Amino acid sequence: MRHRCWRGVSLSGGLAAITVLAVCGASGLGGLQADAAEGLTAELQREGAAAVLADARAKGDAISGAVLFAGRELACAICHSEAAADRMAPDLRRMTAAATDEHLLESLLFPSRKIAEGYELTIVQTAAGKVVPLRVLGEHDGMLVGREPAPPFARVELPLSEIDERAVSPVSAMPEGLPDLLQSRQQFLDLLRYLMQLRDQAEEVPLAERPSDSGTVSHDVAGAVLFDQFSCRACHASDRWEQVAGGSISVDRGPLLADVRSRWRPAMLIRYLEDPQAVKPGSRMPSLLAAEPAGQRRQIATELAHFLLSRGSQDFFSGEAGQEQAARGAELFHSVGCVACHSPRNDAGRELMPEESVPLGNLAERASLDALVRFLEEPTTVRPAGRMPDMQLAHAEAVDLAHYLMRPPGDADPPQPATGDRGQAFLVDADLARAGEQHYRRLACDRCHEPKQHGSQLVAIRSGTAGCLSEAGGAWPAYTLTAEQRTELARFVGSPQPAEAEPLATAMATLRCTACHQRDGVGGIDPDRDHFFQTTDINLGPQGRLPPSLTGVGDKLRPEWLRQVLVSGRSVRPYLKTRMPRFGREQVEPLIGELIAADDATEQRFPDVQDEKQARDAGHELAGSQGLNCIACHTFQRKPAATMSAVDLTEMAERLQRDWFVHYMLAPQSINPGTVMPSFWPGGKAIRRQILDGDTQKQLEALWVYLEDGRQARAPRGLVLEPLELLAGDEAVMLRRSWPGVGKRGIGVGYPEQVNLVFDAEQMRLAAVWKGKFADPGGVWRSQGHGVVRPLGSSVVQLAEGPDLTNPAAAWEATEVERRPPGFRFGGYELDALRRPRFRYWADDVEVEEFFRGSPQPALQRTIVLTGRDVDGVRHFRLLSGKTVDRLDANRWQTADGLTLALPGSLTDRLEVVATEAGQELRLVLPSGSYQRELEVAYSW
Amino acid sequence: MVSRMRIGLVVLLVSVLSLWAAERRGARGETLGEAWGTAEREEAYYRIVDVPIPEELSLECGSFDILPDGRLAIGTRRGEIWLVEGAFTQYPQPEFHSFASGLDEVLGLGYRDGSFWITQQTEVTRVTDRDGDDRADAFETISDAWGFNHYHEFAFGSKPDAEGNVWVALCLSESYNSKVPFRGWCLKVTPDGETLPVCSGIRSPCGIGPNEHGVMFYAESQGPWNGSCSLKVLAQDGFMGHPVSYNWYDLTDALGPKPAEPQSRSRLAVERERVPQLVPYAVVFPYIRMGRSISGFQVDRTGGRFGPFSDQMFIGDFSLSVVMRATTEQVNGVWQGACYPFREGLATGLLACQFTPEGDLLLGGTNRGWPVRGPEAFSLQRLDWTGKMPFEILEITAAPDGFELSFTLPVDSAVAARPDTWTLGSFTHVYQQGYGSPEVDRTVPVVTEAVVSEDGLRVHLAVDGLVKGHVHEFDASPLRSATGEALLHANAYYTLNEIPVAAPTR
Repeated sequence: MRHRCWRGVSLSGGLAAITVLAVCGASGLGGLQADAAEGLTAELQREGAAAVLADARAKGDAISGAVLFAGRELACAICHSEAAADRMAPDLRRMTAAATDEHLLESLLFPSRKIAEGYELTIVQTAAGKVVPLRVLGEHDGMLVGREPAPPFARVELPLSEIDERAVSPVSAMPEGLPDLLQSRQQFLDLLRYLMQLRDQAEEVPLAERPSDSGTVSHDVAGAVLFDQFSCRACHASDRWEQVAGGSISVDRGPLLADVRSRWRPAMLIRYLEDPQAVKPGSRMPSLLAAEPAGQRRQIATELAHFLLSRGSQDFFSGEAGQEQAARGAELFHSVGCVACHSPRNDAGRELMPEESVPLGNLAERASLDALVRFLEEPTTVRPAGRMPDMQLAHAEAVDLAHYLMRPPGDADPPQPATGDRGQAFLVDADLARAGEQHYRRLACDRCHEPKQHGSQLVAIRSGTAGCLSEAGGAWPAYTLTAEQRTELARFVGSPQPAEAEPLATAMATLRCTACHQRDGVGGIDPDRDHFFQTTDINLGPQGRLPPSLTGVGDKLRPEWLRQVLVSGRSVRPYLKTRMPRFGREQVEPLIGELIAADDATEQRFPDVQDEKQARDAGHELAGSQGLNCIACHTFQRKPAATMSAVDLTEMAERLQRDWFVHYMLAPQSINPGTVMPSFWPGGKAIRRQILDGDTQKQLEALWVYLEDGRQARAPRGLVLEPLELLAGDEAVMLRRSWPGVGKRGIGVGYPEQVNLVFDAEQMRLAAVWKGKFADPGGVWRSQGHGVVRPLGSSVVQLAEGPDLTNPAAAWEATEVERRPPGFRFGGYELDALRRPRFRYWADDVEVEEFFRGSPQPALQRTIVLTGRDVDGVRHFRLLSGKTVDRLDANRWQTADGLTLALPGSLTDRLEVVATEAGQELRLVLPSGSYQRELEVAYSW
Repeated sequence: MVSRMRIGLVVLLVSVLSLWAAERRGARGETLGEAWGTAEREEAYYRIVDVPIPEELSLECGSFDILPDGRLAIGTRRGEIWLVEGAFTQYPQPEFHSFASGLDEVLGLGYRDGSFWITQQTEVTRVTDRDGDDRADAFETISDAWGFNHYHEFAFGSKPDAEGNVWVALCLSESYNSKVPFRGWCLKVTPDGETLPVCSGIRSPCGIGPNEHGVMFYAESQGPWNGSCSLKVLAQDGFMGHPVSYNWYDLTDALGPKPAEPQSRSRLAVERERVPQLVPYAVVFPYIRMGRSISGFQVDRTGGRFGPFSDQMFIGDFSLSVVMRATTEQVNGVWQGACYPFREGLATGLLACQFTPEGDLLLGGTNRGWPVRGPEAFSLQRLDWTGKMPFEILEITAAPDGFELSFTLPVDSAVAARPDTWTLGSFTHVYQQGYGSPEVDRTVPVVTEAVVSEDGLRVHLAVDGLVKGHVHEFDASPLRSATGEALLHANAYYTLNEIPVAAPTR
């Protein structure tokens, strides 16, 4: 776990000692202390600008610099990027010639000498004595608005009346001593070179003006969306709606009521039917009883409730709400995307933006915790229209969120836990239900709710003083509309002009895509909700936390992928905390078509690849550390890069259209201004000239061909695979696999004492020993498993091939086909309490058991138990083998490799040194007949 | 004679082309083909439930079983046996317990008489916890009577059969040769360690187990002598089609004399006549359309808790991360049957499947080493039936004059009775030494009459132009249920090795 560093900077001035927090992704503080020993910063400061700049121009590598810029250590991109426009630092992609080389160097070495206008820090002291450092954005409505200078750069509003003092800090928010975080002067040159390139590029390739966030949809679209959302279409035909929406998405279906019995507390349902706004202010459900005599409304609502409740089979039940779950739910509510549409809440549960949000009302009062969980998991089961999408919550998350939502708004105290709240027992009265059914039909509830008779007996739209849009009461549903909604709807239904078809804009507004995404300047995140969009990887800058722009998305993504995203909820940005919701197939089907149709740019034809293999190899080189080092930032086969977790390279070709890829690679910022991705072909010229002769088109083609291999793409050079290590702990560890020099039936054992061995279960022999760590199984646990297990320790000693137990009268040699000596059978092993194996095998009439253990030397103790049963003739058991085997003293023998065998002093059996093709072997000579021998020998080396 | 020669030439040309195409595909990073595109609709009936795996665990499932105490046992490619509690609940929160490790690709696992009987690369092993601490301490080698000298010499083992025998299908060496004993054979290992050869001619198995009638089958992969993936019966003394393992007849007379060499660039139906031991594929899975590397399978014995497909086989695919169904029947003494698409969109390359005590289908595997559509390096997932009845072809069986189809829901009798509702095609493969085969000898059998049963659940198709030895593909897209629903999957594939002479007895 790395820790982000916060640096304290002391300020002097009118305010007492004040601490400004500046952020930089630092892995260590030492280098940043002013009094630190001579660091790189100081060295460079002394060196003088001319020399450093000359070196940067000559030796700096812009690609390495780009990686450093975005990397975890410096994390420059957090503040310097397009989307940080009202945050902490200038957008370096918009540098002008005024940013001379000298200026760039000075900014890095002496950040406070020139602070870019508008990016000064202001230290504010409030009447309450609180000291707040801010980048001031402005003042309005008696409030000072600013951003905190530390992630998540929260927007802060302070009442001007409560501000005692404020002072502009002479110290830049950009930390001093940043170069000290680099590992070498060369890295600094790289970074500087990259900044020079950024500036040159900004001049060469002017950025498209950032579309303003203020873009809005046309009145027709706004009207059409309202017309649909208020279910106007249930009663009124509108050519205009058909024209504008072009038969696109509709959400004009009320919630399903079949199981309302399990969802609503009966008493609250009656109140809701009587006056929806009283229970859920802002509800789009009109009051159907407003035109009824006041004295009868309660009775009618009751009868309606009896009818609705008579249809369900499952009684209302609400489980116990818990504080712990609610706390987790609060976090989810404010991070996964709920607050893009619903109001964020303060700690007390008060809604902070009720006016501009989709209302929820007081769920605690009316809803069932259990039903709410079911709804959150599968919203379309209740609301088939899909306006509330599936947020891809795991069950446990849906539970937590439901617990949170069941907190009464504004109530600081958690709700009284109700153990198994069944509500008040509700008995349906058949007579009341029958009366309710009459009302249900009479009041035309069925126009919006199931069972529906949509389309029948449409009513002409009236204008003027009567009808839904008038403020008068009458024989029509009483809608509660804001003045704006009323105006918009009136304009929509009253306009005599023919409307233009805007199906895509209508669909996006209807499904509220625009609450999170911006497309062609329309939509995007409401600044007041901006800080709820967070990331798990701040190194990615704004694109790490903001849902991507949808401008040109129909051209960017392959249709199959677009569908995967919208219908199946596929996502390639694990770093976004906000989740892309999943929509029902029927709801988004038209949207997919519209996006593709709208962005249908003429497809560029690419010439056939001349030599596919060459192209793939070049692409492989480009992706690797010796090329463009894509893997420095991009995830590869689901393994995040060390620097950041940018989109997986192995999913690019599956997602993207080739045209778009080419355009993007040439100038990433012109398509996505917020990206930290540098251009490797600034002005269309390749930076890496030694690959494919620096031919831009060929390089791009090569990368694409390489990426087309998808998840099967060969790992680029420099991709650091996590090392696999299999180690003994308090117990022994084993691995039966292919071991080098042993074969496929090797059984490796690592002992806690840091000695290891391979027993060969094919030839029945001790095959190898080594000291230290046990093994790296990468060769057999990666890819198809075609490699071998690698012993990790040192001093590997290989022992002779062929079985340890031999019949000197019957020579045998392994062949390719027959690797096991005849008459041998492996019996397996048993583990002792420390999981050390005791091997067993048979060689005709001899049974062998072997047990090994480590001893602290380190040395390996070997116990051999030999049981002969009427053995015909002499057998040998090999105890040691090597190029030479020499006797050290009475009981010790040693090989040329330095492997020493210690025999028990009591040993009386005959020993024999036998010369073989490979060298010499020390063998124990076993008698014929029946016997049992047990001996323990020790090896050290 | 002249026309025969011409056919021979065409076949030669086609097979040369297919070889060239295969090489080209290999060079490019082979395409995995288009998806069925039915995942979104399938989800309403069979929901994919992720069984979470602890972060520190790389769980490469290769085999499953259920313990008598209800726990799930998993054998892995990394040589572990895990015992898992809590994998079967609606919202699984499993706890993993390490029972054994250090083994070599546990691709067969079954619990019987207090022990696991596992198949790993090297051997069949009986793994037992003798001291009752819930960790294995005895690993007895029951049989390792086969050569093992190359990593690709995979060994797939069945769960113990009714007599306790473990059936082991041995992959060829490098999947093309047979360099050490019995590569390409199936061996039956008895509980007391006897090893009995069953048959020869296997290429690259990836699953083994009983079919719905309790007869041992295995899943074979496309490649030399195999035009497409298929399920084959492990017939005693049989020859499964790949002759490179004939050399081991010299080591044993258990299977009788060495069969005659099949002729390359021929047809299975032709060579069956020449090589009596040759066992034709029982269920062909047309390449790409129905998987690319079919793998572990199991029969649904949930008694309807998994939906309408009781007593059918469910089989995964490694490359395409899909699950399919298969049904088999014996006609004129020969096994044959059909396969049907079932569910796509699983997260990884599927190696093994297992029905849970709750009646759900557990699926696991890994995507390492070979091209896989599923994005995850490994995963453990469950298919749960939502209780909603999909409109599907339940089963196809052969009839003397055509086919008998059954359905999960009553069909719209008027639509079903129209012969043009049913589009049939037939093809076979070149039986050849070269890799795979194109689909050749295409014909268009014609439905002359469609008779709908009174309950609307069965349709009898009289077909003009049945071709013995051909795969018959069905497209019933126009069909509607009695309530107007379209089929969830309109295609199915029946391998017609034999045409029944009398009504099939079922």
